[in-house]
Amino acid sequence: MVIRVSTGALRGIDCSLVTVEVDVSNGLPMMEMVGSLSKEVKEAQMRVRVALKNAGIAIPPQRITVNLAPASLHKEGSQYDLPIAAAMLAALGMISESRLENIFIAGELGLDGEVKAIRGCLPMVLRARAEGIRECILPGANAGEGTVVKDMHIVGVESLDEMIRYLLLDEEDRKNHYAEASDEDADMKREKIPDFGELYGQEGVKRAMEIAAAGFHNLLMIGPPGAGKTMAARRLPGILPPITEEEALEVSKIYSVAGKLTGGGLIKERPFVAPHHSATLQALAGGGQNPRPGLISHAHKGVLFLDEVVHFSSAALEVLRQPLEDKKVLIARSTASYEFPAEFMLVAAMNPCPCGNYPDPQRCRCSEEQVRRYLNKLSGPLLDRIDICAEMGRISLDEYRQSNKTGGNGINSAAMREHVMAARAVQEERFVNEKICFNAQMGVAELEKYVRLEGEEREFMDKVYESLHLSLRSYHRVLKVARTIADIDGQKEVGLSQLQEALCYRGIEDRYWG
Amino acid sequence: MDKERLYRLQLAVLADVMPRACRCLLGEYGDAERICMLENDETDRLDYLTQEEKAELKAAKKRGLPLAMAETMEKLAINMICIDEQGYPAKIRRLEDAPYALFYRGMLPAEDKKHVAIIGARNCSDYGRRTAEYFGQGLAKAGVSVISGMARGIDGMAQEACVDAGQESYALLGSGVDVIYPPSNKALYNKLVKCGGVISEYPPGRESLPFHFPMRNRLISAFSDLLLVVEAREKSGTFITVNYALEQGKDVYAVPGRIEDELSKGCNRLIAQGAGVAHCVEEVLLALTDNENSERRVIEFSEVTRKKVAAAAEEKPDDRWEDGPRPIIRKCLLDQPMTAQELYGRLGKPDMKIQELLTLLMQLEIEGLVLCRGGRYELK
Repeated sequence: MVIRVSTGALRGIDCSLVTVEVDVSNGLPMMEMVGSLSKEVKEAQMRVRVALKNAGIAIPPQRITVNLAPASLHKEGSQYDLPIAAAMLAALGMISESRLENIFIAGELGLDGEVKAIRGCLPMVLRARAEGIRECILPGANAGEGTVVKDMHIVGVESLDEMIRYLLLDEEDRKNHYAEASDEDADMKREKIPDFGELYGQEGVKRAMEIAAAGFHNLLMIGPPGAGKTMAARRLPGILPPITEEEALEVSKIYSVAGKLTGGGLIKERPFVAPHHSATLQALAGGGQNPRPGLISHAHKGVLFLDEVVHFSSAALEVLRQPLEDKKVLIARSTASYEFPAEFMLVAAMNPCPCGNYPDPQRCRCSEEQVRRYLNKLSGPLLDRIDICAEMGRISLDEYRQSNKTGGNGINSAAMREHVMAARAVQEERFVNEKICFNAQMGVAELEKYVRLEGEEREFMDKVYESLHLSLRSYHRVLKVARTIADIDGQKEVGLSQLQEALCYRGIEDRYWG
Repeated sequence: MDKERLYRLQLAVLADVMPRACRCLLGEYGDAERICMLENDETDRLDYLTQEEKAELKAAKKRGLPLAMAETMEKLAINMICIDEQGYPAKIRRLEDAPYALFYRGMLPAEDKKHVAIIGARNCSDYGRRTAEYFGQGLAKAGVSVISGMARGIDGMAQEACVDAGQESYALLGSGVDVIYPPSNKALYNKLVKCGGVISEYPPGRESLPFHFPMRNRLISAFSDLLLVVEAREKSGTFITVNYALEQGKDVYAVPGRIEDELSKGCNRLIAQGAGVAHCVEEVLLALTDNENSERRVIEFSEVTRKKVAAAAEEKPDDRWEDGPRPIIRKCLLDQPMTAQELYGRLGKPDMKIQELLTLLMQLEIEGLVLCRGGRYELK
């Protein structure tokens, strides 16, 4: 007699349905497992046997065969313990076979029968729902993740005993065990986002941030140490447009697969990820034999902040190129290749030279060659993908006091967010029939369509193209940024002043390198 | 190149490695060919040569005539003049450690003309840049050529201004004359070859080494009649040249700067120690034309001042600077170059938005009135 139970295998941030088949028949007493299994899955038999024994269930001396179908799919992870245990219980006649139909089970077992947390519950529940299954048994710690999905009955169990008890309940009593969807959002363990109003005398970079946030443009900040680059970046999440339901689900899936979706509920804020510059290529892109999303995927739909960007290893920086272009990371392994989405806004900060004070001749003694070498650490292809480049000067004590005295420490986060939201609304309307949603994602075709230069503006850009020696690529970047500025300013068409402002943010390769 | 000159070239290459020994050998034999063809046992008998120098001399003989180098020189039109030849600059011959040969492209500085060496920091400020250009151009217009090291910063700026004003300028290099250092000054190098000259005591192809620069500094000061320091830090390589100039009995002038400017500290110190104050081109010209007649100098100087005052009254600022907040921007940038943010703080116009200032700066940049260098705006 063969018993079947549904469970899931993670593939990237999605999940495939896997059927656990258990057969108990006469023969030499042994337990064997088949179905293209990795080491930790094969170990399941030991965990299941001991956990069953410790739960007081005697395993008869018979031949037990466990198959995880489809056999062609390589299976990894520890979530198969609980469904195997459930199938064996049914095979031993402890629970009815029919009870295991239309139920999805996943979880890891301890030797004492404790059910441990697993990663990737959210995509699993989503898969179960897509397959028409309405009931899921998950580890208690992961139940919150499951409740995010509507119309699903999620049961969190802490131990094998609890699962057995639950499976033996009749339909009426089961309802009391369904986990409630929590009203709280996922706990990102984030401190309160500080306000831009606290950033004195850096109106220039605030404006650049506002534009970047409005159009989802990648941003590079250059300035001496202590100018407030990091301070500005930390305040950026506070002005980002709110995350949509669809985006939230996708981001939550990534965090679920990474095993970082704690506290239940969806992630309702755009992520802000700031890896240290010693981060390795694998940490950034994701990896491991059993690949998990890397930090750049954690920044999906949010901000990836690289402080002291030139100190990242060049390999780590180069790995950013693919996600910046394709909006995803592909990790190939011999068993399968995995795809993690990574559509982030890159915010980078750097000093202008090794000592940090260039081009101030009073303080900087770096030679031209040193400055060039320092800046060249950022490769051209990476710079090509940065739309806005903002320089920050050192703030003198005088300026600080001045802005303090007048009370005009400039614009604060609330006002900036208003601008961002206004620009966001315009873009939503504009791209309603397109596949993109932000100005930064516009290609050449969209630029032709949405940034029409005529008369005076056209003449101006023609002149500037020559006099400032722009490349075609930086020309397009200027148009994109100008479009966002026009959206913030509430202008229907891109005007002269927007183009002029956008030109001020053009890339450093046009200005420092010469 | 005839055989005699080839021997001279061979000796010049040798003099690059062991200048002292070559001077002694030349004193004894007086002829490049005889030195190059010395028999090995005769070389061994020369007790004023060290072992290494003897080995070097023998090796040079073994290598034979530098035909490849001669070919390069012909191709690139590199000239060579040796100390025992007619036309070797008298100013250099006077030096105790005069180089055996000078290599040059273009011309050598004319003996009957006045030359001023303009030197200063490589990493100069905007003020230094403008001053270097002012003096380079002003001196050029008065028929004085500028001598310097073609380095980045003050040196190159002053030379460029001089050449652009139509006067010859001469660069002394710390490498072979066909090695352009720094590479970013290639355009200037080409200009100098056409108008003026590029001179070096090192044979063609020789890379620049750190110890070459102090040596070429002694030639910069030797070729010139007056040394003008535009911008120098308290501790600066410029002072090597100043010391040579004082040893060689040249006038030293320095451009004064603000006392708080790192880059002017060296100059101000020089002034305190008695260097001339180069507050205008005329002052330098006066120092050049007549050093002895101090009375005449005072009269001429007052004349110059009078003219200057009159000229200043006539001079009008560019009327493109007149509109709206532009005059204040100009005033601020005249003080020192600054970033848009600094400028924004300095303007003190709370009703003006930062983006409006950025737009305005962009307009000024396109009109060619300001320049954005590494995020800082400066006057053009």
